[in-house]
Amino acid sequence: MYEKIQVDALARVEGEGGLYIALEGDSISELRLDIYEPPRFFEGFLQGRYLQEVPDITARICGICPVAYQMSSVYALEKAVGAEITPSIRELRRLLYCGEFIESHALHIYMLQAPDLLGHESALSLAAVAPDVVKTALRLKKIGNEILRTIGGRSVHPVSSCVGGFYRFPKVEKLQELLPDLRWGLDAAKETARWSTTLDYPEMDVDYEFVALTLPDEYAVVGGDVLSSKTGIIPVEDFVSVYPEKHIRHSNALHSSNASGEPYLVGPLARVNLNHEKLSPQAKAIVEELKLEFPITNPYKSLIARAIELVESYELAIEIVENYKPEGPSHVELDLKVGKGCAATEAPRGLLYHDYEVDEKGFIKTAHIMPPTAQNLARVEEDLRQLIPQVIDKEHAEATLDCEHLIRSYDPCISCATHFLTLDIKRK
Amino acid sequence: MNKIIIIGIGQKFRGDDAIGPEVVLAWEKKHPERAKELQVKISPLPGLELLGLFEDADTAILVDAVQSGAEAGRIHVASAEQLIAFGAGSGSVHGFGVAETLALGRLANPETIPENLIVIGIEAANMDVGSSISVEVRESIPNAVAKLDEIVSQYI
Repeated sequence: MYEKIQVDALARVEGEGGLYIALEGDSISELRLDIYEPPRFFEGFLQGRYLQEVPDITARICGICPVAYQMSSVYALEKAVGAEITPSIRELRRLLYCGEFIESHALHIYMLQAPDLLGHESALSLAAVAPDVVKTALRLKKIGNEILRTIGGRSVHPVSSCVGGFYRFPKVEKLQELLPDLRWGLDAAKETARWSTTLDYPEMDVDYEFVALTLPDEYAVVGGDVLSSKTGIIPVEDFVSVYPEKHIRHSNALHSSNASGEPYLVGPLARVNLNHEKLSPQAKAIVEELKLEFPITNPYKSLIARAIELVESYELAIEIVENYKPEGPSHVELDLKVGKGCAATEAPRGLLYHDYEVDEKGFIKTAHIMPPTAQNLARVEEDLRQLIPQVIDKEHAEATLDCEHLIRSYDPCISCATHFLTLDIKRK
Repeated sequence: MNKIIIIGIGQKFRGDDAIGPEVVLAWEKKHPERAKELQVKISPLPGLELLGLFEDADTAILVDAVQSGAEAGRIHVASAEQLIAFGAGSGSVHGFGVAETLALGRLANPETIPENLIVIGIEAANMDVGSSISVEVRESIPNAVAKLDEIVSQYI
């Protein structure tokens, strides 16, 4: 019998965090997902910046999901100044987002989570025995980065987005050059989805509150209101009051909960469970072929949800590229005025909420960002509490690995989550 | 014709990590005519993207900061195989390190790895965020530039 499970530095997650679980007999006396990555103060240094600087600054929060940080910021700021974008701009934003889902999901499915499911220490040891799997992963991922490069000028931290649209539209022929790769990718994504259901997932069944964006006519990624599996739809404007944040001693990232103080889940499982009826036709066909039943309540199976979204993203990317005929200006003129605005988009890891206040010249007065990983941290800790009784009789190393695998299945991005620190100064 | 690419790897605001790009830019400045005959790239944190940077090249020369325990500023020249001795790992596995990425590429996509892959590693002392290149490492720039030019001469 052992007294603790301790992982000082989690591997195959982005950023720096550790896990500490203290046991007394069969019960847990302490469980902490320690987030010791230093806080990054983004919300602080956005203050006083001109609003057009915001998307390029927030993109730097993450090298895996820079587009999400750009998109939530541009939508929130457009709302703050009352700007309405055109359908051409929105379609291009959706395509840019497809690129991000593709590169992020391909990386997580194959390089970060699959080694756990296949009994490998890393993608490197997996590549030694299954080079074709890793080869497919590298190509799938690269195509996502190519979409980012074609629209945004570079494959990470693209630079074309602005409040109001894009600095310029990419040329039709440049986007069409992507089509052969995208078509290959759609087939490979379908194969990925088929393969994802053959993997041997640990058993787990959690009663989640799933939270994701929702839109009437599409699988919601770019904008929308908030849908909860327990409480229904709320306007995005109410998000912060319904899902408040709080400071936790062992974490440099804030924790979120619902109004009753219970954790909730954002991310691919929440999206697929809530919005599977709005998936694209071929993604839906794969769901039917694989006889998937919703809701999926096993956190390890978020890999399947990512694979379904990989199909969705490739299919949508092809559709947008085939119909791409940019009309109107690439960005709308802004009529600067004092205002407040909030918006959310679906980052690969889940709902990403931003709100801003701007002054009459378009300078930022306040900024507030709720990253998906921070919202999920309390949920991961609850899942670990549920997991411990199942693994407590296993060898220590195996139990530790099971805990790590559970954390990795969330695809946590700790660097994103620690952008914030509340300074509570008490004065006499 | 032998297609050569030189890639300076490193982040500007991370102490000695910036030495790779510094050396490549110093070489380019000193040999502008020669630089035109080949491709020169600066890549702060390439991760898996590294594999895409050199897939059309016959010869890739990577210039990067390394930590092997030798004295700061020491210049190492290694083949890709030897690179593993410097250790993989970038502190985060979302961001794949150079050695690990090359190993992964060699296993999964051997056809995209250039025939000649040479790494010039400059021993780093301090990689703290926000610091600048340390004195010993900066003093190695002329020697590193000469080494880079010597290697370019072998393959051009």
